[in-house]
Amino acid sequence: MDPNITGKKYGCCGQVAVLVSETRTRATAPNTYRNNPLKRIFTCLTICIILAAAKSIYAQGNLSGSFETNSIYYLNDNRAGIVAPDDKTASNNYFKLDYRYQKFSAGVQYEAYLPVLQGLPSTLRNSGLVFKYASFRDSNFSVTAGDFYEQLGNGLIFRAYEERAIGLNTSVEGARLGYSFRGLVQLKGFAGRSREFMDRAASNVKGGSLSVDIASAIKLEHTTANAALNIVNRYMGYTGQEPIDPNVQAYSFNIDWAANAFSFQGEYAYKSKDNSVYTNNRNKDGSALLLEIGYNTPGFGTVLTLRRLEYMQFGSTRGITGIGRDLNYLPALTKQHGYSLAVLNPHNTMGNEETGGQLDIQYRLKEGSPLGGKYGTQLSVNASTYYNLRGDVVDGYAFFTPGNTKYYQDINIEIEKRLSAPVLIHLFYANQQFNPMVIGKENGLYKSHVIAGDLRWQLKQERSFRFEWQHLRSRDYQKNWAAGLVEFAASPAFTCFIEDMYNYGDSNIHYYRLGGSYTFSRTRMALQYGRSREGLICAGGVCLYMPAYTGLNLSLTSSF
Amino acid sequence: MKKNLLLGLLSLAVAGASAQTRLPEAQLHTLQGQTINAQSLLSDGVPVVISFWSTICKPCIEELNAFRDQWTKWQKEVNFKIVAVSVDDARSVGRVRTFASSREWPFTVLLDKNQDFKRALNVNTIPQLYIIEADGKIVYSHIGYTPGSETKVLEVLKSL
Repeated sequence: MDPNITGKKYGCCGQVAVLVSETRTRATAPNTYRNNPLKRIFTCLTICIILAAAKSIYAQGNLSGSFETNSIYYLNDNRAGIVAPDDKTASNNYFKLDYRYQKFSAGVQYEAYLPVLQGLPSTLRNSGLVFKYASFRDSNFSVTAGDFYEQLGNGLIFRAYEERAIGLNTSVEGARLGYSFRGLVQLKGFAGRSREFMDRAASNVKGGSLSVDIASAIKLEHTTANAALNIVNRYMGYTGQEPIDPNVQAYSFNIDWAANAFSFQGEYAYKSKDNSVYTNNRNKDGSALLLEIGYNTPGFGTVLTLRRLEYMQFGSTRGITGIGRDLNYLPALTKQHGYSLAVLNPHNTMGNEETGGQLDIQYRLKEGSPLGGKYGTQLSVNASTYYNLRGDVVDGYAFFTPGNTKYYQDINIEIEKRLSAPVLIHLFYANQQFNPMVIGKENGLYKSHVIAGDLRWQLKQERSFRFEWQHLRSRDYQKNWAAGLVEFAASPAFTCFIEDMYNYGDSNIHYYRLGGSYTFSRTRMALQYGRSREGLICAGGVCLYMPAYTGLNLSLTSSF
Repeated sequence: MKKNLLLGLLSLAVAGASAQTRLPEAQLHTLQGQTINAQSLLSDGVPVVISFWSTICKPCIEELNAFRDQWTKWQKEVNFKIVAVSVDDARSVGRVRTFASSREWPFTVLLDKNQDFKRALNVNTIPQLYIIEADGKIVYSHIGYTPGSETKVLEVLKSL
């Protein structure tokens, strides 16, 4: 899917926006980047740090790095109605280098899209040194000039990060300072511009945080307690006639506490009025609350998470939000499953109004107990549900009370049991309800039951097989699915597999794949051939719609 | 200009630099919320096995369960410690503590919430494991886990 052609984008927040509006909004923002004082400060800081580091450059340092390539050769596939792109090959490549000498470090990341893999943002094109930095870190002081990643609190108001699987990189180019006072008080500040694909967003972002280790400050024993205040400002010039404030402020306060088996954390966030495409051009402020309560003892763990969001989408510009265009991070707080049929329709956070939560319980039946057996048994129960917030944008929203529209529900149980020394099994069941409204379609619910399991059979110390089977039953959307996989591993270097995912009741298409991998030390090469279905792929809580394809996929990753 | 300067710096560095052989500086968090420096993992003066994992990575959990099952036996053979570094972000980091507690992992579990430590060690794929000598020197690394590969870890630890 090409967001620049279709004008549509499914971001992390289930939003569908029209690109024409984005173009209009961006065009009104003066491009002041070349004359930006931040850039001059950044350049000066970079030079200072490099000069300081260069004094020691001939001494013994440490150069490290990594290389990653993911390339696909696409094929036409008449049976599945898949047409290969004109350019049959696509390749995403990343080369990263870091140099360290004592307290100094510097590095670059080079990216080449030759061209970008089908489905990822087509604005990732050509190649370039998209990430470069120099930094100094002492025990209580740090400074970075150049590009950096950062997160404040839980990311409700700011997170700059990288997720290569979906072509996301929102690193900030600018400067960052950090100071720790006796480990009790931590100060952090930064300013710069967010990356937007191969370019920079047409806005400046500034932020900072003050966090205090309360438990240490008042000498509490067997307890940890921290509190932090975070702030972010996005400035994007505006010269039009509408009452648009070029500044948007976001604040959050978070606290965490743990004593013995109990833990608690909470974060409240507020965002000032933000007249943007992703708020449907409503001059509306936003807020969010995240609460998490846990109880953990040996053999038992549970955590309850609650979150409400009201107009908390926060783009790097006033245009559309979505992959690579967000300043903050609002992931779907649901369990991420390992079975492919349980992730056919993952939840997509509705950042403008959503309320719900997740309960996770994990228990280990001890070895030697009647139910645990000789090797013990691991039980996991997880439930999550999300609704719209009651109310509307005119009359206001309830604080936590849900409305009548269910966005998502997932109730699942997983059992892990070693039957004998060489045989380990997993059994899984999930009851899921997915509302296609979260990806911009009609309101409704796709209900499904997923049953799955796998068996690992270790033949010898280094040889093992894994057999996996799955079934999804549904009367909605694409109806029923079945899947199976056989994998062989020769430890520690070699694996190969063959799998099939079959839809019956709708398309009756087999999505088969076979492949293998070879690993040597810090290098891994994998080759796969087969057919992949269309749908959402999610990485790190952000989802992207991927078209179906048939082809040969080579991936190689290596670090040194 | 800054691009050229950085490239120049890196070109010069190549001459005198060695590959990543030492534990880098980075901040990590304990499950209780305390901030620690990666260098403090070496403070016990014994070799350290660092395993990058996440709650959504099945092979990672299999590897850590295998270490748990062998823990008592291995500790009688060689003195070392294991640090399981979770790279779960805000979506799933809340489940890390329940994972570690319920599975009764007898080793240290730390959080790398925005993957700073993972990037510093240039980890692209998990699970990835490092064995680090008491003086901070990286002596072994491996990507992925298949049943049985934990025996190589014991073999390396014994050779130190």
